[in-house]
Amino acid sequence: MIAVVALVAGLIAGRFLDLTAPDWLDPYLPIAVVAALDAVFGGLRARLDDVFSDRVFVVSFISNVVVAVLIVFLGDRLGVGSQLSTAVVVVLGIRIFSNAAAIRRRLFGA
Amino acid sequence: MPPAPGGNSPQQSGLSISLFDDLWSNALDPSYAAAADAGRGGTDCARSSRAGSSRSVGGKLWTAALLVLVGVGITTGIDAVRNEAPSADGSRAALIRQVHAGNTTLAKLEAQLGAARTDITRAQSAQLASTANGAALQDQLAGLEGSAGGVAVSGPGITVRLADPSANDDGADSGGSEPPLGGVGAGTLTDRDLQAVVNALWAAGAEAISVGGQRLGPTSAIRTAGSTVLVDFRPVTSPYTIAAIGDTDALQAGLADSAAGRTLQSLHNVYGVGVSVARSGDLHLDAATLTEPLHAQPGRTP
Repeated sequence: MIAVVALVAGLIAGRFLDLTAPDWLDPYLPIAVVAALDAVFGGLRARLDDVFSDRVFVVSFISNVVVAVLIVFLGDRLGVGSQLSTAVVVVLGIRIFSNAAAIRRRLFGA
Repeated sequence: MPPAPGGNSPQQSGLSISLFDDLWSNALDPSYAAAADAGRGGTDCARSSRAGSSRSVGGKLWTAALLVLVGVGITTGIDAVRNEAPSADGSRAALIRQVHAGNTTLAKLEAQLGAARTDITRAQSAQLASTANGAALQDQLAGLEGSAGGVAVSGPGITVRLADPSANDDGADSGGSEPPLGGVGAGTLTDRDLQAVVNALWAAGAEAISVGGQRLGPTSAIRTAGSTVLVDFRPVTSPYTIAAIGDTDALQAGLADSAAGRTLQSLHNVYGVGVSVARSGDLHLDAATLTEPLHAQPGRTP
């Protein structure tokens, strides 16, 4: 419950505060958001499986974001930034889909 | 090693399939299960017993804070993508503003230059007219300036209008891509065509010529930059108007007889280049912007 309220509050705050990401963060923000979404879906699935743990969520969230951004940053430096972003998005996308499917099965039994 | 029962997948695709499989089946971070197990103290009791020990207030705050961050990140990311296009438009508009401002400054400076030139001419003639020797010099000067293009002139002459073939003839691609050098492929007029016409007019006895309103001086150049024709570094566009003062009959006959005239005729027939020649009893041509010679000095005739 708190989590849903926090997420909605964040969305509203982002909409009305008119924040702009600093320039150096610009290329990494989308990847960071996708990595964070992966952690969020994982947390939601764990919550439905009754194995949710705040500690695991926080650690997986931060490590997900940091690793994803680090991979893309390193890729940019090596000249394969766009390919590595694609790789990160594909892997995280598959995981998000898989978790979303598990959540769907749990909620609707289908 | 015998093949796996029921699985006849080739060796090379085994790796990618197992990668994908792993990704799909282990989508949930295994540490959730591990933490839950640890919370249950290793006992294998019912799943409904929460991993309660780790749900402290601090943990809840952390989770909430991170979720707020996710929300902010999503909206900020969307905004960043949405603002990208306007920023490109903005820089374009800024460039256009710069060009307009530069043109305005240029026009102002040229007006200033023209006024200064008029002042010089007036002072010069006043000075020269005071002596008999000076009056003779002034006559000579006027003749020289007229033939060099330094003063505005008027008189009878002909006007040649050249127009690129209409766009629907040669397709839409001529607008985007640069036409090939020489312009023969697209039928587009180039600096060479204009040069040929101007040279033919000089040869036919023209005394003053302007192209697209730009009077040609002794150092004028007609050239191409990209797909734009420049006359004295000023862009001129189709239809090109070439005005020449001189003996009207001689100019018209000379142009028609010249190689340039025949080329124009065939360009007209083959590509639909618009060519029209008009006689005029009274043409006015502006003065050319003459540059002061820096290196060349008046010398003795050999």
